[in-house]
Amino acid sequence: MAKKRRRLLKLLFWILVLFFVIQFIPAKKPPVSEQNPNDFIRTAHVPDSVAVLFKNACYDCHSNQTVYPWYTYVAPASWLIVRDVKDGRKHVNFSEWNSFKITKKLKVLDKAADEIKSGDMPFWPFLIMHPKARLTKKERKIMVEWLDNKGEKMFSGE
Amino acid sequence: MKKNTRNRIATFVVVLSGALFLWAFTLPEEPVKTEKSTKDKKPAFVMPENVNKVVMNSCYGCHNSKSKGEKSKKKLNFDKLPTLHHHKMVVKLQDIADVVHDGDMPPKKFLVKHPEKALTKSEKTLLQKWASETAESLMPHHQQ
Repeated sequence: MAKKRRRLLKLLFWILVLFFVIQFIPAKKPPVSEQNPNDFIRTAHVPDSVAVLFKNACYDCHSNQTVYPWYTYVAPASWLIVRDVKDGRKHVNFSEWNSFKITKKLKVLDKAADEIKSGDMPFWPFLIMHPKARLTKKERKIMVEWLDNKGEKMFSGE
Repeated sequence: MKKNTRNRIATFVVVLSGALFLWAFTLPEEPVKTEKSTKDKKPAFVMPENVNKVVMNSCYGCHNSKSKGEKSKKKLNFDKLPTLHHHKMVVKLQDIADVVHDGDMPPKKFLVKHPEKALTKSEKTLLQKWASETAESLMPHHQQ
């Protein structure tokens, strides 16, 4: 019995050591900026009721206005968060919206609608720690309808 | 029935049928619809035969309504393409031009099994040109 317990404690000890060591592996956080003159919500005139959905469900990975939670500073969570934010912004950064050409804007609207409709976005691991980002069916419908409508309006030059 | 009566009835039926038949030709033609039906609507784009050939060989297999590939169907479906709203159609067409240009489509893994479906350089140029020009032509003038 004692031998088993000693072995268990030893294992726990090494896990803690490993955990301590990995904290020294750097993960450079993509910078946050609250001042974004090309921001989507503002320049695309997204109504408040829809804007709040984008902000809660999308903006952490897909904008410069990322809100980093406390565990961002704890490995391995830090690596995952950095990866997700980097990738997210690379795919689309809503803070840069107004700098996009019209064709890119139409593409973003179309793809965003597809991803939201299919449920592929927000990314499910994100939803585990972010209950505010969880979208109901109705909320998804609202977002998709607004995006489709916006695409149509933009296309006809409004 | 007496033979005479039967013959008379038969003659009557034949004459009546003949008369009805001829009468049908005097009926006026169906009035021309003044409204355009959706079938008469001008298609948003035309796919020339040479482009169609390339698409059918290298793309349609995965990118059609009956395809088993859920992901590929979702990304692009040639069956549904002409029915999309223009603002979405333009995006899909531009996507086609981009993935062909970047060499991302057909997927390399797929080509390992089906090398005959690879796009030649001239097929790439043809497809790319058609897709981007068609997308361009669909954009309203003030957007170009």
